[in-house]
Amino acid sequence: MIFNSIDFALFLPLVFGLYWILNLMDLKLQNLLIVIASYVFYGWWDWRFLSLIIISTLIDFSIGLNLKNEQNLFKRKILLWSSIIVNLGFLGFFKYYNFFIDNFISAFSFFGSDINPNTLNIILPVGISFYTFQTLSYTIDVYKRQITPTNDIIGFSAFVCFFPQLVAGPIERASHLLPQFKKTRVFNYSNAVDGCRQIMWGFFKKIVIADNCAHFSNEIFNNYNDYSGPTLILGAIFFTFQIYGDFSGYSDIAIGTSRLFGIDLKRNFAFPYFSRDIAEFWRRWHISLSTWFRDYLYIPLGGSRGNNFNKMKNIFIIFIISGFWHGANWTFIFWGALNALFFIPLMIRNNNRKHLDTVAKGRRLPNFSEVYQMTFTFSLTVLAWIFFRSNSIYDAFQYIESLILGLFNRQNYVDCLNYLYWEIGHALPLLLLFFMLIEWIGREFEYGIEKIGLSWSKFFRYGFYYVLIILTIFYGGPEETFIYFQF
Amino acid sequence: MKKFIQKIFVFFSILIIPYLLLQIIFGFIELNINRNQSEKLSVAIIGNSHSEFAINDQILSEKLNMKYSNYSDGGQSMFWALAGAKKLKHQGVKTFIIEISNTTYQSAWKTTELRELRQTDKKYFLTFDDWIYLAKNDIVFGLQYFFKPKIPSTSVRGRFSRSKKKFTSQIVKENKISKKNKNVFPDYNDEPLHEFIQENKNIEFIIIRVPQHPLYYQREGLKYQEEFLMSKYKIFQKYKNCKVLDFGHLYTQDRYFSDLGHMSSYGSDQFSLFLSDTLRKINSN
Repeated sequence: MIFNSIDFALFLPLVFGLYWILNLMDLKLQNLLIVIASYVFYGWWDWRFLSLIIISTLIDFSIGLNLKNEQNLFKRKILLWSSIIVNLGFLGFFKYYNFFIDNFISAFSFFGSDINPNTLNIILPVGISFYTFQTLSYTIDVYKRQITPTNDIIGFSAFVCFFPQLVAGPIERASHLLPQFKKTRVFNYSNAVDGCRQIMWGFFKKIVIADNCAHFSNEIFNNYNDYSGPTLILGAIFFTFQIYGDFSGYSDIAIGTSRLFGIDLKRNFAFPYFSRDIAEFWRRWHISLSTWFRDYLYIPLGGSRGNNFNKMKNIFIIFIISGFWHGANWTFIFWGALNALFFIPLMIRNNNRKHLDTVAKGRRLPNFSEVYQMTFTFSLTVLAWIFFRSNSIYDAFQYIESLILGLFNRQNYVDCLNYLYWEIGHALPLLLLFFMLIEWIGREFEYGIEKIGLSWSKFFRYGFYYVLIILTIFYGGPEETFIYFQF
Repeated sequence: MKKFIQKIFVFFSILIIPYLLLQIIFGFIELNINRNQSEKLSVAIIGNSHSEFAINDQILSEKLNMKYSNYSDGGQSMFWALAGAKKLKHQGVKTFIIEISNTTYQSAWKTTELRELRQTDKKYFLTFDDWIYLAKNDIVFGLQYFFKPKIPSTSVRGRFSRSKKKFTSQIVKENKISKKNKNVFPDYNDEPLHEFIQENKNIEFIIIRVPQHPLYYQREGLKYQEEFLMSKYKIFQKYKNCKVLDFGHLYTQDRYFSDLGHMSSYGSDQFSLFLSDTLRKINSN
């Protein structure tokens, strides 16, 4: 089931109503409802893959309990590695099997020996990368004795499969989410209203910004040979907004929905396109994944300790694995490596923690230097997204080559303006401007419209919300599924 | 909790009630602006991608000195084609050429949801029975379609398309015969079409099958579907205001086709000339 569907519009009020009725009875029943609703939510797409979630849940639950009682370090390590192997085994098989087989075949062919390809037609289970990382974090935390394992299987199942964040995050930590399933939830009016506001903003980002941009970025990326330099820049910028609107929109809907159920989820995006350097960008983009890699991979590898070589090595490992996490394609690996290259100069000069505050905090407008820094960082991310979006590394380089060569021909600018005027029209640029303006105004808060209109009269505040809804209904782009579902 | 539910209810009522009122007003406007446009339109062709790529309405208009318009649309099932026909009838169309093949019966009312959601041009011409039919088949889709915004207009989806593809012996997925249709009658209920023909005795109907490649008929399960289709054609022939023209086996050479089920640019021109001759002969009789 996807958020932008009528199925979900019927599903959510039903589960919401039942949930708060059960709140008066029993906590276990309420958690059981979450588990059943989450399985229905997931099974709506393909019920067969529910088995993977259930197996992961049972294995990590029992390993957690065994780790609690086990004092022998060697046996504890065996338990930990069993969980890692099973979880990453599922992930590896469903997501990376064909990638590795194809690359082995290519490598052998390169050395002149042909081997018989034996790839399977494997369907990638939606959200497998997200819930695998979530359950893994539980076992690792229990192993490190940072959390006490739970003996409540229903509460643990709810933690693994909580439907708002099951298929595309935010990737939760057991220390944050699991305790919330252990205590009675109390309905909080202002929290629920705030949740609705965040859901509304999430839908606007997804349906208006991401889906409209997707229409043009798909057209340009799929037919890049037909377009010239400036139009290719436009295509890359559209994808930059598409992926942000799509993924942060999903996170907003997930966080807002959870608030309706009295559950608090981690923040996943913090206005990343207003970052002043790439390090700040990575503190603001897909925060739940970045912090996962930081805590479970980067720090155990040595983090920023040691000499420059060690620092560079660790950064490369983290970014390449992060790229690979996104998908079984060299484009994602290259995207990760490129980000590492952008990051390393900051790291070596110890400038990677220079911008910890929000840009232009307490001011309306940024100064010249901040504008320059934001523009430069934005350009680097646009360049990296070209690799992320392209179908192959070859296509990405061809795209960039056509883009650069096309910049030196005046006619290409005329073509670009024609494309902008005749194909794209005035609505989308105006909507993007409106969107960025709202994001800028709300950059010091949790999400764009969190505080907007709260001090206005009811008439204007509601008017603003109705404008957002009407824009979402009438200016929504052609329906696209969420990009991060494929990861 | 109570306060929250009340506020949500009021909030959405303020949005939904004016929206529903607006839909009713738009419905009236649409009915009025579509009434009697017969001077602009005489013959309408409806169907799916087969007739979309086969019948060049410009050639027919020129050769027969009447306004022919092709409203065929790729993937359009008979349910939506018929809804379009109701709108066109309202506009004053006096002759309908309706493309019916085995795919028509296979695709029932729905091919892909995205395609059906595009059919908002027919929204105000669905009858009460049509809405019930939709609700029975897919309540979720019915609601989605009901709430889809639609600004009044006289346009009807569909056109003649010229295929640019070179011939391949492929078949589009909508034309494939599913396992369940190999040995059983496809389950599309064509009763609404029969009713439409019988209720409009002053309108002339021509049921047509456009040419398909010989390999199209050699697929597993097609023999059975052919027999089924012929039995259906016989029923249509019984109506006084209805004729059946089966051109399914007219051409055998590859150059007439872009794939097994669709005509090429060359093929559509040739077929449209042939069809105009046939229609002239029928009219002169």
